Amino acid sequence: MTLPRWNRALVLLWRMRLRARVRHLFSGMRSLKGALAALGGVALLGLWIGNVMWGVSMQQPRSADWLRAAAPLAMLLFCLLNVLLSKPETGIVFSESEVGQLFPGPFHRRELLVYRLAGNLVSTLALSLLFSLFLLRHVPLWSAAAVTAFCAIWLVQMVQMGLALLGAVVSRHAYGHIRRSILLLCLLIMGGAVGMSIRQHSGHSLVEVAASIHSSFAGRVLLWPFAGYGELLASQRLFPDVLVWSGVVVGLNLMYLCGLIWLDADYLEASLQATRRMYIRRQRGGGTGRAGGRGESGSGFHSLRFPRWLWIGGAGLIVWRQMVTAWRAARGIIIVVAFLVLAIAAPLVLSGDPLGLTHHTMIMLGVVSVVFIPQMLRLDFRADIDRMAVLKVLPLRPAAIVVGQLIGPIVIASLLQWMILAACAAIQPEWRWGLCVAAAFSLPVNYLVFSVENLAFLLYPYRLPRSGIADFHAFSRHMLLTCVKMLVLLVCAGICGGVGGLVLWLDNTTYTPMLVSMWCACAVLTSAMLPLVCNAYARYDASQTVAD
Amino acid sequence: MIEVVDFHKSYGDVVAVSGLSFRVEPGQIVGLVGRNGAGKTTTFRALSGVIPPTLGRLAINGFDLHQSPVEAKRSFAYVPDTPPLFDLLTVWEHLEFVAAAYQVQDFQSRAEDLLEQFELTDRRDTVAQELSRGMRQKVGICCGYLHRPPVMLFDEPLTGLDPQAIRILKNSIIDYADQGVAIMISSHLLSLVEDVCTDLLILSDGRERFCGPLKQLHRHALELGVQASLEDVFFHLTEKPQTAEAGR
Repeated sequence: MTLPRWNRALVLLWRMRLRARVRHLFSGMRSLKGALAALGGVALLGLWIGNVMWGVSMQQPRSADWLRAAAPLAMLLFCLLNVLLSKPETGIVFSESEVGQLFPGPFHRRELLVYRLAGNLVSTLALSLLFSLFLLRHVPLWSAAAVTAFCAIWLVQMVQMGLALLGAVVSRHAYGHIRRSILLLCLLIMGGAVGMSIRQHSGHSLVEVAASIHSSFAGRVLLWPFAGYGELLASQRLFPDVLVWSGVVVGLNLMYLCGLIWLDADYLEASLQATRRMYIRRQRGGGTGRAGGRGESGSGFHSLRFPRWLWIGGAGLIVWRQMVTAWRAARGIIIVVAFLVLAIAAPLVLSGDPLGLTHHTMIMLGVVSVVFIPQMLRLDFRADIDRMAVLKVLPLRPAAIVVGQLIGPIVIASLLQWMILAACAAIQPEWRWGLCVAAAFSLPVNYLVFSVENLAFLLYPYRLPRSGIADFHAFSRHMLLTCVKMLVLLVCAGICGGVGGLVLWLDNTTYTPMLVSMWCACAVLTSAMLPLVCNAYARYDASQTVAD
Repeated sequence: MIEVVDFHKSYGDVVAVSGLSFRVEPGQIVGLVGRNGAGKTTTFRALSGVIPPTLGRLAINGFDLHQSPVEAKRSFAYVPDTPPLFDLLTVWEHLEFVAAAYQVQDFQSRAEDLLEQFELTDRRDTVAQELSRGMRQKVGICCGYLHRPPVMLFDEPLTGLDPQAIRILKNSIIDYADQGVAIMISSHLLSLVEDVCTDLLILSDGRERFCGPLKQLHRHALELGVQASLEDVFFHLTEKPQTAEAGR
């Protein structure tokens, strides 16, 4: 095997791009507005980190045994999930400019692979430092946490690359077989180890069961590549513990890297397609919408037709378009639902307190409804950031377009919430009336949430940053807008609560008038948002360039 | 020179290109034309080494793209229709990178000449994301010209260019061909093909419909009894493939 040389041109490009990013970062700070935005971003980032660290500091510190048991298992689980979720057509994703400039250029595939890994180096370092702070409470030495986090992220990236390369080396059919075989083998070994451990240690703590899995033959086979992570995290001294285990972990990662380089698969075509898919998704999804732009994927729903029922001044047409997109992106939405159900059901199953379960569920549902679902379901103006001019020239009134744009995601979000509420009601029948009330509120609340989201977007159009938290301008702009949106929603919630409280004070015999009045207040506020969104849409300048 | 022998490319059951063979000798300018989906982009991507052929041999300047991809790639310049520049790098930094990639010694004077030729001197330190589409195209062309390759591939090269730049580009293409560069241009603009190209390759449904000098095409068209304008011949060959097994 010939190891790739450091290609001077690629090193130069890497350096120039890093320098360009720093230059871009500081060029935005030359104006007062840019400097304030950057300052705001840093402050918000600091607040967020502080908040998370405060939360971590409240937790009970983990023992060395717990770290030794949990870290390898977590790494194995993550790698298995990668195998499970990866598709044969998955490629190593490059940016469009890298595909255009580097693929036809005089570079070896191996050099490009190393460039791709090196390209993530700065962000990996930043993420590792961040994660290491969150681990501080549980590990004896910060350096051990930093090295562990860095190597773990590095390994995860390489596992993804390895799967993409494997997909390029073997045919799709063979890839499916290999993947299934690996998964089956791992699951069999793991299942055997877990089964035996649980049988031997029934009634014991999770750490004891995990330790038992480690000590079993199957556990040793599956977990040995990750055992170093647990030992490294549990290291008590810089020398020899941290140094020795760092060497082991880095060495294993380097071996894996050598394996990738040795494979030398012709991944360029798959990468080209993966990059193109990502570009199309980005164009259609207006940035990062998970479920908002998967129409091009082969989800098998293309042959299905969505009926067009109503005109409603043209709003029906827009709704039809949104629903067709959602229908064809059904796989994305199913993933979202599965994720939500898992997120809510997992604590239900794991916890033992029935009252706590429902409270937990309701809080989760609230957070998911207000924060996550609007971000995931970008089937409104946010997904049409590149098609605003097309919408503007349609012979329809702004109100019709706004209503049409909003109805689709609201209906889908409400359906998702009702499904989750129905599942909760089945688990906790004694809470069914409360869940019914929540279901009744879901429609106006969703209308309010999506109206606020779209109002903010139309007033200050933006795309989510591609460059992550290192781009303070984009990050701070996004965070500030999120804060403003949350503030507006809190004020609305306060008004509804105030109206409900007043009614309860006037008539404290039953809760029904209070709930009805709160629902009405919410509906009135929602109705009041519509003219605001229409006005913002009418004033939206479709010729403006929205920066990344 | 470019040599393509029995090139096939399939995506699953879909055949993008089937049994394509042609040569582009030094000094030739070959226009690659065809309707949408004819296989032009696939051919160009395979020639630029981005996608492997399902079957067949592609060689640039004597280097097989499969056996010696780096040597082959060092021998050509590929100018796509919308050059995907690195948004945050300046025009000069793009040239600096290309010079390093193709190991061009003392590239500065050559780069400055190209910037002047394409009226980009005052944009030297402008980052790519601030350039208009036409200017991006000019930067892509300058990057392609910088290392004086023996083979050049242009994909819709006139996209976004102003009339002055179009004239400069056309003249430069003819100049390079005169110096012995083998050039291929993929375009829907038949006027460009007529103005610049010496030869023509017409594709339809992934198959070659004509490959040869433009004069031969006109002669062949007269034999077939169609009017001799390139547009008419193009429609004749691409709309009635079953009756137009022409060329050679």
